[in-house]
Amino acid sequence: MREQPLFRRRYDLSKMVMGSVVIGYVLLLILLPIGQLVHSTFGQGWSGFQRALLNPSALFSMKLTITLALLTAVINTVAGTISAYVLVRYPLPGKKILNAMVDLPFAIPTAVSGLMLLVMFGPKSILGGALQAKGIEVVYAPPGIVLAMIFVTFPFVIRSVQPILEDMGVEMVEAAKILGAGRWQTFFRVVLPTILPGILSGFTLTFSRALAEFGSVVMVAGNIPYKTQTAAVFIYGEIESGNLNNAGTVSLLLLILSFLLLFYQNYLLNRQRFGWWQRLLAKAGMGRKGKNSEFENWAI
Amino acid sequence: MSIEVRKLSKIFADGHRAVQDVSFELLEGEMTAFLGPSGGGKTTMLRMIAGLETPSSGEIYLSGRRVDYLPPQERQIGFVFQNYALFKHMNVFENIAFGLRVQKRNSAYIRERVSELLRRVDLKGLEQRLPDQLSGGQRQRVALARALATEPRLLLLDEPFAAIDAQLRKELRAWVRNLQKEMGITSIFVTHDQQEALEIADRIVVFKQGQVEQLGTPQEVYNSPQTPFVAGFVGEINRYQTGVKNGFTDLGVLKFPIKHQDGRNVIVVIRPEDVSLVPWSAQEDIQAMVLQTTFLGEFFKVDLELADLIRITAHVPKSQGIGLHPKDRVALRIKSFKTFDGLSQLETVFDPTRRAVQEESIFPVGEAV
Amino acid sequence: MNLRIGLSSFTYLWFLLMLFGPIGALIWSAYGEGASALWRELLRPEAIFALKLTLLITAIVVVLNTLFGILTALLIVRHPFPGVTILNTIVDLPFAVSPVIAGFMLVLLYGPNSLIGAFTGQMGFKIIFALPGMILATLFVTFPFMVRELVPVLQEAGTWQEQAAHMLGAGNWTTFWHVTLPSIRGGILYGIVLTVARSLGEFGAVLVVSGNLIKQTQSATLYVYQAAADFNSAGAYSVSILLCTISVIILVLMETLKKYGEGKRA
Repeated sequence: MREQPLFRRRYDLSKMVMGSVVIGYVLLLILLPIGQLVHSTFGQGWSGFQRALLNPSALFSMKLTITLALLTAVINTVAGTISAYVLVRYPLPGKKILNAMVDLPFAIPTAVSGLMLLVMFGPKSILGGALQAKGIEVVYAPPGIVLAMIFVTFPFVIRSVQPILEDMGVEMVEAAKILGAGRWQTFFRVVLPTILPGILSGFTLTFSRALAEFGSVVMVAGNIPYKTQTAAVFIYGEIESGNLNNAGTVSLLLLILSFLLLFYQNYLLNRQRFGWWQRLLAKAGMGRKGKNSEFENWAI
Repeated sequence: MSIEVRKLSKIFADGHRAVQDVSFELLEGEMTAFLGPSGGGKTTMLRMIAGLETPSSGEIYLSGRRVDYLPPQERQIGFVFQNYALFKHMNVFENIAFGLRVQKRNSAYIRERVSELLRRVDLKGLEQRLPDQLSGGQRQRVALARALATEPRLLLLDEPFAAIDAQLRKELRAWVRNLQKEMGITSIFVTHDQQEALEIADRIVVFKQGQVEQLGTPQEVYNSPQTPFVAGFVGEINRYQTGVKNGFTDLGVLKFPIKHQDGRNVIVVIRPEDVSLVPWSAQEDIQAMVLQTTFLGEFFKVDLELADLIRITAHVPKSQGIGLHPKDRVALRIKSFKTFDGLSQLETVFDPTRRAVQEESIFPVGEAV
Repeated sequence: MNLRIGLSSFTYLWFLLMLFGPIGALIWSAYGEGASALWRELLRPEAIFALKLTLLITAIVVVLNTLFGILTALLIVRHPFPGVTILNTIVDLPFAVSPVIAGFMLVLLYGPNSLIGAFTGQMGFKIIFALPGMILATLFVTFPFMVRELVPVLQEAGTWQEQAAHMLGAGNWTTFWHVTLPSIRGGILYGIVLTVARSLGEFGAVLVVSGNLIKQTQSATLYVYQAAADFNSAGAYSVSILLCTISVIILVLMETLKKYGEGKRA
């Protein structure tokens, strides 16, 4: 028998210890809770699940959430793409400040974001008062929910599109112009196809984050069944009143939807694998394996 | 430190056989080049000697001690990486001192040793610079100093000059060569540049597809290549695949007597510098027409067409090449050629042209018809 | 040129309405309450308690998730095993899960009626409706940040520096402490900043697992929520403004680190 290389074995051991620690942590923190949710929801078989599904307020909350999250994603995609374009291409006064402020909604606690919108559009404020006089309800109504969703997802599209536009440079646009393309042709045939993956990525991120949003929504719109009760708010209400079956069912549906979006984001939009916060730091492009991967995986 | 490698193989997890059953021995104090095309297995070989790759089978001995199961940190080998792998967060001083700090040397010794090395690699005054603030050549010298700091018994260099521009590369080569001679440290470097290997190595190991094609001194490898591959990789060649007919090569006008049996397939290899041109005359055996001449500085490269549409390239002196033009007619003399048996094995090294070319009979300008 | 003016104006307007408007409205309204009222509210024992609790949770979460985040990233990049893509996907799950659902799942698994919860309850150790649950919830929602920050940093760095350290005689620990860790410290710092931001602001998950008991399990964001529900506007504004100030500091840190990271890359 050939002597076993000692080096190999030692490094395999450290790998195994590390693997077990990480997997144990992930299991306790993430996987077991998800498993428990599935188990609890189907604990009494399908009937509980079906009953909860037929609950009209549960259904309403799901529909409301998806509709408003889609609306939010569309608005933020259009406005975010334009903003990203302006921030990259035009020399504007105060551009640096605008650019730095984009991430602010990410840093502000969602409950505080909700409070801000409540103060801005509440009946006591100038804007809120004026809108109310015209019969437009904002707070404690669906428009407030959309505003809250837009605020908390503000950075996503901008930060997804911006780095692609920056990498693209002006050369492609100049080349298109030299080849005789007009302004709109250049945009639709050169710029848009290039930044489309970023736009789609931003859209997906915005949509899934809006679906999940709770803090700001509950602050701005409260918890009015059949009016402002989004899925997350509905779940919270059902937990508080002890209807764990309803809470579990809606949670599971929302979870599946979110996982599908995550899957789409990670695997179908592979190039944007790690979302916008990633590209804040690692713009240089990842997965640059180069010569390293020629050799077997290497220990620390 | 002498190095012996016995039946070493490396098969990667993806099934790629990078090194197959390689054995060789290298002598103490020598500078050896691992030469070969990329994917030839030379870097993998180097990394196995270093301990950065675990062999799939076989043994490695350093000064008679078996080391292939030891982790790299226990082998006392210095290694210069192709991209230098300098510690980006440490300045030049700390980079060079790293190995000494690992050995827990006292700080006075470290200071002294590092400053000695800095003097040696000509980097005095750059102690506080970070790697990002250095030029390519400076980085390479820091990497070298770092590898030498712990006084390793063997120095390995993976394509040490690849990332440096041409002008500087020549200087650095000579400089590294001198340093190695001065210190007498056994060294191996990997390169795909034959010129580099010929220039600074005591011994060359030619790799091809994970196997050693030839091991020898630069002269041996250049003058007596053992395979057509070596002949082609080290230096330029004209290469012909042909048969044997009545004890001669079956190459039309390039008809040389050889010892192969009739009907065998042989490869005939002629170096361009072994082809000389003489004025055309009806008596000459090999007549040719110039297709194209290319000025290459020290000499001219002349592409020629023989009868039967056979082509051959010759390197001729400047004074001669300047008078040649396409469609000129000339005659050839072959100073030496080599034949290899159909596959690879050496059979004949033959010097047929007893008619040495007279250096005085330089081709008069315009004489060619 | 008209297009340019149009797009630029739109962008200014959009930022004004959706970013500066809400922030300005909060500051304006807080100003209306008067500085002394805000200060008095901020010094209320309940508010101080909530802020301290949030800081405590954040500190513990940052330590744990930095540690496990580094380990996880190293495992994914440096020791890939069969099924590592699954782990890689699992790391992202908390991003997809609504915080309320995250809290709910933890209640189901660790709550007083669960197997684990009942067991630890008998030992006199409450998880849900107590500090450990709030820490768990915050750990859950912030777990991806450090990992996602470090994976590309590690990938980009490669293992060259580690190999060089080994060639110079360094063992695994020396290499880790003196080479690997320093070479990814920019990424770690950024990951910490992101984790802090999210921990300070977490609301939904903490609300569900904490029970929102005043001076027991009421964190800063829960305090804001409660104060707003109780129409104690000065109380809500004062803590909110404090949290916002911290957010701005975090944002400045993020920008600085980003520039530092890009500068180093260039």
